[in-house]
Amino acid sequence: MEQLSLINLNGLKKDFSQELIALKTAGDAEALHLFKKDLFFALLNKNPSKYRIIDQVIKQAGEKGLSYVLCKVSDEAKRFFRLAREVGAERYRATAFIRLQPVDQHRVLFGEFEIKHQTGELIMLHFMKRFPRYNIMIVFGDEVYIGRNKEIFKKKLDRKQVIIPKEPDEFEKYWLAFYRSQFIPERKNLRYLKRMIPRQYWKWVTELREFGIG
Amino acid sequence: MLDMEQKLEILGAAAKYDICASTASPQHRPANQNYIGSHAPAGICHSYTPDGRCVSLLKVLMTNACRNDCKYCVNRVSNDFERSGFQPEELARLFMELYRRNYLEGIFLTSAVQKNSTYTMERMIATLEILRFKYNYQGYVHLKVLPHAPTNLIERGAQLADRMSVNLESPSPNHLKLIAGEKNFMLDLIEPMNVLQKQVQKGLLPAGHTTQFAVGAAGETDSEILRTTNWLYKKKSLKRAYFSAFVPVNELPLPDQKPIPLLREHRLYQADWLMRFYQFEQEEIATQTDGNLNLDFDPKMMTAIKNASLFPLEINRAPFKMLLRIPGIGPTAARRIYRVRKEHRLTDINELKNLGVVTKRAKPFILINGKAQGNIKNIMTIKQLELFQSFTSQLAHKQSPLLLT
Repeated sequence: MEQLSLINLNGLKKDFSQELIALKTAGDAEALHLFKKDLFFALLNKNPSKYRIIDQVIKQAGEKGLSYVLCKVSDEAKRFFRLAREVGAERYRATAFIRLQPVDQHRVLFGEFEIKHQTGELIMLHFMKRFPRYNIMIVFGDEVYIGRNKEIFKKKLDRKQVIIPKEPDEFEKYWLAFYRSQFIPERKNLRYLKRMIPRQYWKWVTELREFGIG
Repeated sequence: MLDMEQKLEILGAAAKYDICASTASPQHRPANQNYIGSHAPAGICHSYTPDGRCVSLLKVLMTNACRNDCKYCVNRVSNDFERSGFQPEELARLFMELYRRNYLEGIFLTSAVQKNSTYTMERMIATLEILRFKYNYQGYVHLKVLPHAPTNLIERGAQLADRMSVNLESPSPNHLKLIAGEKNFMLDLIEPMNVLQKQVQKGLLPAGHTTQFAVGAAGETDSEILRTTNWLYKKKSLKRAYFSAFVPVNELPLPDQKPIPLLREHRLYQADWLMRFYQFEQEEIATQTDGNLNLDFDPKMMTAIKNASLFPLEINRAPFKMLLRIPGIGPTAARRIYRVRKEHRLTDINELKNLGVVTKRAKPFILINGKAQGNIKNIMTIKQLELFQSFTSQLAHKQSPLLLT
């Protein structure tokens, strides 16, 4: 089982340290901090052209200043921030739509989700902070992440071999009753709903089926 | 005897017209190792209903058994329907189980007034005490303050909750009298709000205090609502106001009232954002002669058209406050323009697009390097154009030729 270190801003997957030192003169400390944060998120994106886009914006920041990039003036800067935003959006939706199932005398919270980018550790950190007295176990496709005592472990999973149990849960029934109660028919707006929950996430938001959606 | 599922359906449905779904809160409470729960700085929506509204809070009534007879309210005593309620321990446990499953981001606890405000508030606070001290819950809590709630209970609530709110429902005592004759505007609603303000000033209630208006229930105008809202922001440290278009439910005893169009509610939110984030003064926001916001134009566009002589503005020189007055430029885009033009001269409309400007709306109101970018007629529907022409005929002497050519 592979143990992952907790993510921090110094843990970039490709070494951009020299370029970042050079950028210290391209803007103030706050601008550099913001840029580093977006760079970190962009690097977690699975898009194969991310390194080319990052190289382009670092070059632009050196020539025209960090503000030029941070304010997304150029098309390259816009593409760079799209990389970061896609990662942030995936993390956000996972923290919103993963449903946890208490198992093993309630010491484990188990969930499942699909991710496209390298957001597994970010998602685990969210749940480990929220539920520190539990072990968190989340299956992302063919990998299982386990969060225990502030450490995250990752293991490949053969989905044909492993059957993930789904226990009947009275609280799911209560959740559905509450969810149904919140709908105001006079305000029905499915277009808005679809904007809020893109179609690829419908399979995780099972309560939508209460209204024949998904 | 109702089971839990039935109770949730009744008490959830009765609370759904309370609008606030925000869970954003800056404070992380000091916690021992055995805690459960956390805040997400910008909040998290865990689901959405088919009306597109976020479901992030367990929004339920403690009880729907009410002694009041407010005409706009579905829970009024004269309304004949099933009454129910939660016990504090029962509700706290239910919430914790749903929270652990990541269905919810927090709890929004409100109630009808059973017996009296003190009795009901005590039960609501008992629920929160169980959450905070028995379950060590550290996540988000929104607590509603009932009309005429005693000061000591409001102060106790402020120690337990992230946000509290008092629903004004109407913008003035006279309007309130029409729909909720038993409530005293100043004593029952503004007084508790004064207590909340003091708690915020003490550093409690990290997510502030809020209020809600039932738009149109008492025949009030948008100007009256906005004036009161502005007063609350400035004098009562209100975090934000919510607007809920009045919907007649269960044969409400307001025979002359028709459902209020949702667009009116939307326009009020737009005007509210102008005051909160765009540095607009309330008096500056253009309304019609009847005191309501125009439904065909958003308030910012309407205000820009009424002040056409101020435009077009040179994007490389306009002060920050004026950038915020250009339709299609929001606070984020304005900040970016302000920042980037210190180092770089903007020369192209595509650069503005990349900065986040809705260029289609902004074009008629801006110059880039002295060059006009568009005609206002190109961004309007036929109906809007007819209205616009009627405005401009009244304002011809003020009209800037660049907007029209």
